[in-house]
Amino acid sequence: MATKKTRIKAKAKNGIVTVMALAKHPMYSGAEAKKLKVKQNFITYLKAEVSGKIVYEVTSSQFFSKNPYLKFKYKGNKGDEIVISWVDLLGNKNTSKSKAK
Amino acid sequence: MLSKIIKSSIIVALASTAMYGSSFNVQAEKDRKALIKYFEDKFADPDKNRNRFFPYSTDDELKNNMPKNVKFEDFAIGNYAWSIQGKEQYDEINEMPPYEDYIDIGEEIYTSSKVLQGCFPDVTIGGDYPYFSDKRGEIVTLGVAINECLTAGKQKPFNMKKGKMAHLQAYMVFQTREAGKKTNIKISSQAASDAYERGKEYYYSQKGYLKLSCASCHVQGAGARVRNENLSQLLGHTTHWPAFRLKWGGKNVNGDGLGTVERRVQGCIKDEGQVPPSVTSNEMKELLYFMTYMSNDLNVDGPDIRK
Amino acid sequence: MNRRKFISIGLGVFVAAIIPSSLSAVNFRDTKPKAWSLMNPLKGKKVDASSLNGINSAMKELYGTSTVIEGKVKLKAPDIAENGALVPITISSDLNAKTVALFQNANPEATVAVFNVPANGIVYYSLRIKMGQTGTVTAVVESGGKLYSATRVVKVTKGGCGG
Repeated sequence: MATKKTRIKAKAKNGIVTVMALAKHPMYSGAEAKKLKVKQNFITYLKAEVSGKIVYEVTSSQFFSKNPYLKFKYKGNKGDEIVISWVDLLGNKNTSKSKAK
Repeated sequence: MLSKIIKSSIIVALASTAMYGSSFNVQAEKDRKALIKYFEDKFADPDKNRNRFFPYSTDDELKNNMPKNVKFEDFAIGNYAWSIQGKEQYDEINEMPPYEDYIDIGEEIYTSSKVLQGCFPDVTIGGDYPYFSDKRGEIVTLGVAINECLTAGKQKPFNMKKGKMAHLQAYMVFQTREAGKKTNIKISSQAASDAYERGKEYYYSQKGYLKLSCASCHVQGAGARVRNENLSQLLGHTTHWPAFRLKWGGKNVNGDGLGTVERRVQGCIKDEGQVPPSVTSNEMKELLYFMTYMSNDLNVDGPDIRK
Repeated sequence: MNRRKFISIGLGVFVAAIIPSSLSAVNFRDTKPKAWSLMNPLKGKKVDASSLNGINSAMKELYGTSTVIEGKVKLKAPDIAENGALVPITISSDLNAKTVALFQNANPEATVAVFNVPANGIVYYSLRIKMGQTGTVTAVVESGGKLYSATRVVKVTKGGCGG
């Protein structure tokens, strides 16, 4: 598979930034991991920060769809650099960033 | 003297063909226009016309789930054109569709292959396939063209239904979409017209132990529901391939739900209790030729989401 | 920062920070580990879609109570999912919230997600979830020491056309 970068789209309007993101992860459910004979693994925690401040954080589960999608809003402006980072059950990490348009 | 007459009559014949465009698509055009009229009539007011078109649909479906006045261009999004429930989910998922990464992967496949670039210098050709090759006397689909290109360039051909083939087609069709191109299938010879007719005959022939034809569900049955499947219409069926099916995405380890039109058609035919024609067979190619011609003038809008 | 120190409802007390993972500010897997393995009751081999016991137990584990006030929370979910692998859900509310949680009884474990809402945050969360079968989805918003909730039933079918 290609890059594991989280795809981020962020649009600012009237002081609110709407962020849509698609993280890359197989998000194995317990049943699927058993069937494929792999170690169960899924993103367990994900957060988004702007200038070091957390604007979104979620503790997640294997019940998010594959390549988990998130959409959220926070009070912010065009040009904000949004940094999205996650960690999974096996301890893998990923950080991606994008600017709000 | 005779040869001069023959030559001039040939010239006149060719000239009139050129003047009126291809006269070989007269019947196909009749079929296409009739199909459009049928669907526009069918979906103009489902509730009012329930006796004529939807005798088995429920009150709730007709009054609450089916909008009125679905028009030509709308039909390209399949049953989302007339099922409000489905369209809501379609719109939500389309805010950030899961196929975007695969377009990038497809682009990489193209840009890193001189062979593919040689065969397809212009990638906005998604609306021109399948076409009838007079030289070869057979239909060429996009998948066949890609694999013949790779084989000629001494590279391994792709699986015709998913994986790299679907990713590459996703890139090419997306570029076609961005260029604003439409489905533009031509019938320019008697042989091509015959191929069209064979495809049409397959489409309308009852087969298999269920005695269903493609038309049973996708022409006569379009708009009806079979258990939890809302039967989509033939018009617009081919504009959006390769498609990302949520069903295929759920089954794939990495969530890759992209598949070609051949993948979908074979799957459907299998479901109807029939042996599907092989993906490179004349039967399959002619069937796709007929189906794609029926969607002429519709915008190429792939890749897209489907159930 | 310290408003995260304790919940004023029920017995639940949780401590923020000092989490093993270097990423998190509030990771409910560390603070409330039991909530994530709380199972929905089974009927035979499948999850019992008519029972909300799993959802309520998970809520109790997370918040100390499963007493909720209906209303003030909007939960958007399809009546019939196009496909159970990808069900789009949106939770929104005008409440000034501390946390937002999503539970369901369509999968073995009841807890799907817990959002920690930043100070002055907007409660608007969309996600796509898996549902193994028809079930109930419940969104809970924790605000002002109370729990508000909304519930939807989502029908999920298996199989279908086309391979």
